[in-house]
Order: sequence, then structure tokens, then C-alpha cells
Amino acid sequence: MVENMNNNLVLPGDKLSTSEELMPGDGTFEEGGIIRAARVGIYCIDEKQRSATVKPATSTPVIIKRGDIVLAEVRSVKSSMVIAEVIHVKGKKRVISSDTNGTLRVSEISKSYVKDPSTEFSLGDIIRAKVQQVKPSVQLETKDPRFGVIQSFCSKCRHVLTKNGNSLECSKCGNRERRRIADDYGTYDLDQL
Amino acid sequence: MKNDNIKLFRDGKRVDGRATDDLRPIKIEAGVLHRADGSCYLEWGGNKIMVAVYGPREAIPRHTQNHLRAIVNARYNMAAFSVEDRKRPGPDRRSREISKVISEALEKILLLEKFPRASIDVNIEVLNAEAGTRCAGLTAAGVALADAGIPMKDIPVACAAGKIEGQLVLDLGKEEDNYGDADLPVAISPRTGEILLLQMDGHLTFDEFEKALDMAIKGCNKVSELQKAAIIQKYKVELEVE
Amino acid sequence: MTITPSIKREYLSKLASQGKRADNRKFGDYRPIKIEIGYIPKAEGSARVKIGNTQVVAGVKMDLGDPYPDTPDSGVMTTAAEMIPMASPDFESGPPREDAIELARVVDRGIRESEIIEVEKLCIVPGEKIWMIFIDIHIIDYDGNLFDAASLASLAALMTANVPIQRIKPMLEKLQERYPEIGNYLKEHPDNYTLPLREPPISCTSAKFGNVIVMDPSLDEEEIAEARLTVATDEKGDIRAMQKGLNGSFTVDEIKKVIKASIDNGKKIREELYKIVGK
Repeated sequence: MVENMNNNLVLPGDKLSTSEELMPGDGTFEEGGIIRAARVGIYCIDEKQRSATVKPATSTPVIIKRGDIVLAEVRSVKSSMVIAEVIHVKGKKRVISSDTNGTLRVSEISKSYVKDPSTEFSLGDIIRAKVQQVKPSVQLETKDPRFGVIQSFCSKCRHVLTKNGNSLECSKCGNRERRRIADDYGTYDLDQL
Repeated sequence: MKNDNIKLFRDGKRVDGRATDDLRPIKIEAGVLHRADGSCYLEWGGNKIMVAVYGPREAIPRHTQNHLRAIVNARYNMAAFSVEDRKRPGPDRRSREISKVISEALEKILLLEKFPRASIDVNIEVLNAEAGTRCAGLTAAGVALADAGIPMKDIPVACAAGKIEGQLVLDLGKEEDNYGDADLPVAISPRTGEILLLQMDGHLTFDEFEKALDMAIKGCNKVSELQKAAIIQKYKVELEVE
Repeated sequence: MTITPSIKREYLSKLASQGKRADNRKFGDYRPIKIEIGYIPKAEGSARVKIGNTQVVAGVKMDLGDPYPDTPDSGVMTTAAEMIPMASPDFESGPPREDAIELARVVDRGIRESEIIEVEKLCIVPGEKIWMIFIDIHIIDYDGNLFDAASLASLAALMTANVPIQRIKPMLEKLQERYPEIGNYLKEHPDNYTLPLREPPISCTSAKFGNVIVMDPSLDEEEIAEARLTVATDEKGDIRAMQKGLNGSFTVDEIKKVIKASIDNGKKIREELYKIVGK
């Protein structure tokens, strides 16, 4: 449980606790046995972790965390995985401050068996995915129907593909393509991304 | 630059009516820009300073990256119209030097290890200049960095002391800067008292230096209170709205 | 915002097809405009202009200079714009890029070609000494439509500028030994005086994406725009400067519509400007 100490703002450098009592948690640092605030916010104690944290009052640098819903751009499609660069973390306005190179293994694409990632994704696709792991590298998964491609481009003429039934169609050259699309393909709300 | 025709004291008061240990009026506002990750507007006497912080973000060009921590990239710039005689736009040797010493002062206070290969960009724009712009710029940068939520050990602050007509004074004004005997800009971590930036030009005895430094540090501590009040002012309201 | 332009384009085009903009404005509407004058005491004239979240500071500085040989009796004006890294995560430090140069030149043309500044009144010694006017535009916060914000700030700065006789007097008096005519000039102008100006034209910018045209494009709209048109019109509704930008195109009909809308919006913005500068 996170206990809110009081509603006063703490500022960087303010003393919160000691390292004998608590662990230095999110938004804090330890110096000479004293735990201090590292940002502007409200001092909280995480009873489960026995750590001191500062719930930020300001916007904070965006660090990709396990469980984050992200948008990523497909950079290459290999036989066993897809490499995608994370470009946006859901609900965040700032650019990402941590490593953005993500990997989506073939086994994490769908609940059903996928043999070859190139039947599901293509270069330049914008996908929505969930972060499974961040260390040592960012691992993504797209098993839920909310996840998958939200925008993709015709492999012949690079025009944006529109959803037509279960497949995608290029309104310019008539080319039909297949992707693992998210359930809101082409109907997303910019503010909800 | 000495000029015997100019009197910097009248009836024990300075040209602008201040006592020796008075600061000029200071106004600080946190979070004033839309695009920046953190920002601050500061008026200090006739100075008008705007600071925008961006990042941490991938440091470019790549060879500037440090794989163990973020780098701090302060850029001090004077607007062409900020001074009496129009300044040519773009960096000159003076602004590059100031950018460098401010970057170094800020590096000491930020927790940079959390952001390997990134840069934290601190853009300091002097819109109207009137003596002590580097101290004003660093002070505003401290508030803008806190506004950007960049993890830091303290809010850095700066203030100058100096000597005019043989007397030690706090926070030199325009004429005092032009015709005084010495200028001593100092930045500190107010919590620990550590000195982050120190420059001096002019002429001081060791004894005078000790006193001037003490004066500058006291000035820093006063300005520090104004920084904190500005941050609390900004975020108290936002918390109440929540 | 970190979302890619292709996503924005798809979303904003869809909204536009329903007659909507992301910030709920009508296609022809401006965001709120705020003009503040006298923002920079060190400058001869200055203004801060906000259009929505876009924020620009313009400062006018004046100095003595030598005339160009082909206009020996006229003052000289230069305009520079700095897209400083403060204003946007995408602006880099260093010499002005093409964008900043285009911006400065469009603002410059709007002022120069419409002959707002009575340059012939800025001569001190014919063929020898004239006033140089520097308009410097500092972009502080970039959320779209820099053209209109920059030109409006420049106009407000010019309209509130004072010729700095007091500051330059020592220099003029020194020069008087070589140019006795300066005595007459100083007799005529013993103190700072208002910069002599004519009626200014007002710039209005539109952007086209998909098959809609919006006025005062926001940053998101600008990022996905295929074509852009800036039209400066004067009090009589005549056209005084234009600039078409980006690699898309307009039909002749669209251009005419944009000009009409620019005249209408220009009128409103002019009223606001006159109110602030006290004209």
C-alpha cells in the first residue's frame, strides 16, 4: 500500500527518511544514509516495498516500463521476430528518455500459432503493443485484440491502407494486403493513443 | 573600468537606492512554455530571462553520448535586442564560455546516471539584459529543471557580490557592473553550501574575497527561497485542482 | 506530442471530413491572439505576441549607418528571425536554416514592399549617414503559424518604436564636426521621436491538407499540411504580399477564397493591433 504522508509538496533535496528505516524508491536518492526527494511532488511510503517515493507533481521524463502500452514503428521483419522502435508511451506527451529499440518475438505476436512474422507485419507499420520486459532489452507482445497494427502502408505504392472487412486495401492502387490489425484500425482517437 | 566622474554611492545608498546587502527585485514563474518539458521565466532587476528544458533525449551527434550517464547541454544566448547596441545573433566566445560553466555547474547537481546516452538541453534566453545575466540564467535554469521533473539533488541558485568604490555590495546593478572594482558571480547548492560556479574579475584582497563570498552565499540563500516559492506556487494550485 | 505525422494526418483528415478541427475551431477561425507592447525595455520598440500557444518576441533596434549607394537618402531596414532551440524540440542551434530565412524574408517583404516605414524620413546626412533599423524576431514557443505571429509582433514593435536620439546624441555630436548638417537634424529632432510609419498590411496564413483549407494552422495541422499560403492585405483590402509554401498545390478558386478570408481576418486583427498600440 502506498501511504500518503501529507499533502505538502516536497522539493528536490528535502529530507524524507533514513536508509535504516526505508529504501530509496522512485523519485528519491540516498546520500550519507539520508533519503531525500529528487523531484517536486508528494512524499509517499510504499509499505509493501518499505520504500520512500515521491509522487511527481510535475511532468517527468518518460522511461519505458513493464506493462506500458506503446506505439512502435516496424523497422525490420525477420524470420523469428520483428524489430520495432517505440515512438510513444500511452498517455505521455514527452519524448522517451530510455532505450527505444523493441523486439517482438514470433511467439508473442498472437495467441494462435504464427509461423512467419512477415504474414502479420510489414516495414513501416505503426503497431500498438504491450511492454513485457525492459531489461536487458525492450520486449513487446501483441496477443490481445487491442494490439497489432493501427496504421500500415501499401507495399507497392506506400499509400495508407484502409480496412475492408478482414483485410486491408489500398485505395490508390487496389492492392490487397494482410496484417495482424488492432481492433480500432483506422478509427483510433488521437487523444487516446 | 574605473570612472572617477561617476558616483556609485549617495548618502550611503547605491545608485538605485539599495543598501549594500540588498538584492534587486526578483520575480520567478515556473512552467510558462507549452512545448518545452520544463520552463521558467525570471525577472531580476532589469533582466528578463526565459529558460526551456528539453529531455533527457537521445544525445545528437552520437559521439557526444556518454554510455554511463546523460550529458548536460546548457546554451546561454542573448537576443539581438537584449542589449543597448544590437548584438549580432548567434553564439560568440562570451556566450560559449558562459554556456560551458553553467553546464558544468548543473551536471554536479543532476542525477545523470539514470539516463545513459541522453542529453538534457537547457536553453537560456536573455531577452533583456542588465548586469548579472549568468546568475539570473542559472537560477532560472534550476527552476526549469525542477519543472521538467529531472531528478536532482538540490535546486541550484546563483548570485553575485562585488566591490564598488572600495565597498563590498551584493548583486551588482548596471552602472555598478560597468564602473565597479570587482565582480564575483557564485552558484551554490543551497542545501549543502557546495560551490558549483565561481568567477571573479577585478581586484579583491583575500579578506575582501572572504567577505564578498559570504555575502554572495547569503544572497544565493535568499534567491533560493524565491525559487522554492515559485515552484510551490505553480504546483500547489495544480494539486488542488486535482 | 510524439505521434508520427502519418497518424495525425489520418486522424485530422477524418475530423476535417466531418467539418471539425482537433481544437474545436471552425476552419476560418483564429486561435486567441494576445499582443503585449514594450516587452523589451532595451529595444527601441518591442512586442510579445501569442497566437494560441505560439509565442514570439520581436524587438526593433536602431543605429547609425551608411546608406546604400543606390538609395543615398533612405534609411535601411533588415529583418532576422531566430528559430532558437527553446521553441521546439526540433529546432537546432546554429546558423538559421532555410525555414528561418524564409520566415524572416516573408516578414521583411510584408514590411518593405508595403512601404510601412517612411525610409526617406530616416536620412540624417544625405549620402553619408542614415538610420538603420533592425527587426529581430525571437521564436520562444512554437505551436504553429509562425508567419502571422512573427509579422504581427514585428508590426507592433515598429508601431511602438522611438528613434533613440538621446542614446545616439554623443555619437551624432562627434560626427557634427565632419557633417555640419547634423546640427540641423538635431535642432529638428532634439529628443526621441516616434518612428514615422504608414498603414501596415496584416498577414494571414492558411494551410491545406486533404481537401480542406484551414486558417491559422496549429502545429499538428502544419505538420501534415501539403500547401500553405500567406496573404498580407491592407486597410483598403488590397493585396500587399503573398507567399505560397510547401510542395502541394492550390486551385485558382482556392487561392481566391483564401485571399477573401485573409481580408476578413486581417480586418479583425488590425482592429486588435490598433487598439493595443493606441492608434
